[in-house]
Amino acid sequence: MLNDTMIIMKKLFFYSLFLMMFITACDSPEPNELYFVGDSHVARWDLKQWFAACVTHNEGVSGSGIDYIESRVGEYNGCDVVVVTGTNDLWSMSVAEEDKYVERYITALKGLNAGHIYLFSIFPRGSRYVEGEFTSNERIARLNNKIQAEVALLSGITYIDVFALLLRNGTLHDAYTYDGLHLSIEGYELITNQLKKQL
Amino acid sequence: MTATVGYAQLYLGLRDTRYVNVGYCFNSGVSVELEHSVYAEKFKFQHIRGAVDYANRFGMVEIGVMPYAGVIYTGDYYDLGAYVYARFRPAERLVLAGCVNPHYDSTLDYKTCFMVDASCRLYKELSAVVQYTTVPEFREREKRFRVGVSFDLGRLMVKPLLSIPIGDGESKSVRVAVQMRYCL
Repeated sequence: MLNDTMIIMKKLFFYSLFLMMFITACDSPEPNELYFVGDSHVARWDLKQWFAACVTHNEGVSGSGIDYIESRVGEYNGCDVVVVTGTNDLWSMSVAEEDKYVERYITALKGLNAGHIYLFSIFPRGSRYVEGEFTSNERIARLNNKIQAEVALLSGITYIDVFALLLRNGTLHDAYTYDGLHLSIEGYELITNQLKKQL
Repeated sequence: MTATVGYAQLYLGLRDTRYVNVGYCFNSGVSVELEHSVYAEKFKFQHIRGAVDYANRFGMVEIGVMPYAGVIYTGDYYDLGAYVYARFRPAERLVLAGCVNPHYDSTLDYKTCFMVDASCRLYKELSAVVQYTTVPEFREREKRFRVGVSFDLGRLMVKPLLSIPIGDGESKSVRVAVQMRYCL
């Protein structure tokens, strides 16, 4: 009886393996190699789980902002790069400085010298991390619109707008976050799916 | 909600790939369980849940209730609820089950979820399983169709399921939801 069971289990294992391979083969092929650069949203992104089919490099730094992107000038000669940054810069600029910040943002992206950039919108925040006008979701939406308008004029950058998808009732959806700022597994599932649609 | 009536035993288990549990079934059909998440996250973002399960058999039908309460270590949210379930064996190879899950999440509010399940024994310890569920696999109620197999090998039960989202292609993906229980 044990031998029969083992034979059945072996057959099922190989059938399951074949089915998994068939399902993954039906997906669109992902790039072979991807660099991820940005803030804690990148640093905490479990790339090996979500992008098992390609080589990934997680170069996220918690707490970083546009100055970190600027420090990576010329680093990604021809490579595909995913960028998530901006939320940590909100405190350091006034409303009057937003246009200058957007210019700096675009210059920093161009400076990466990447083959192609997949740029995520700045993510919304939960109510606990919205403190006044500086970090309000209305301001984040305004900044996103300005960045998106500039990116639309450039080639080699795909803008991935997940701001509205992550929102509920004007704040970051509680299901997508643990603490109102950092994404949960469901939040990462959402942004991963949006990125894979573009790859 | 996998209590087996009438057996006193300690068990280790896995729910939906990411939750390990340990529990003890008393002879009376009552069991207690402690479950802990294994997210790829810092410890403070992990989730712990305690539950008590009571099941009893009435002829071909087994009915049970499993209230639970859980919290994330940061304290940012907690959840309460219960699985009220029934299992029915209309034929030797066929088991039908249903579950109603009133569920409260402190930030996502109350929702009533449910699951229906059918399993058919194919050959000896091997059964095919299909489920339709809105019971959260993480926090959000989502409609999912789950299909897979179940290996019941005495003390060990392994049930790998493919969990396929229904209706929401924007944010959800196909997952592998593995259930496992080993009775010591």
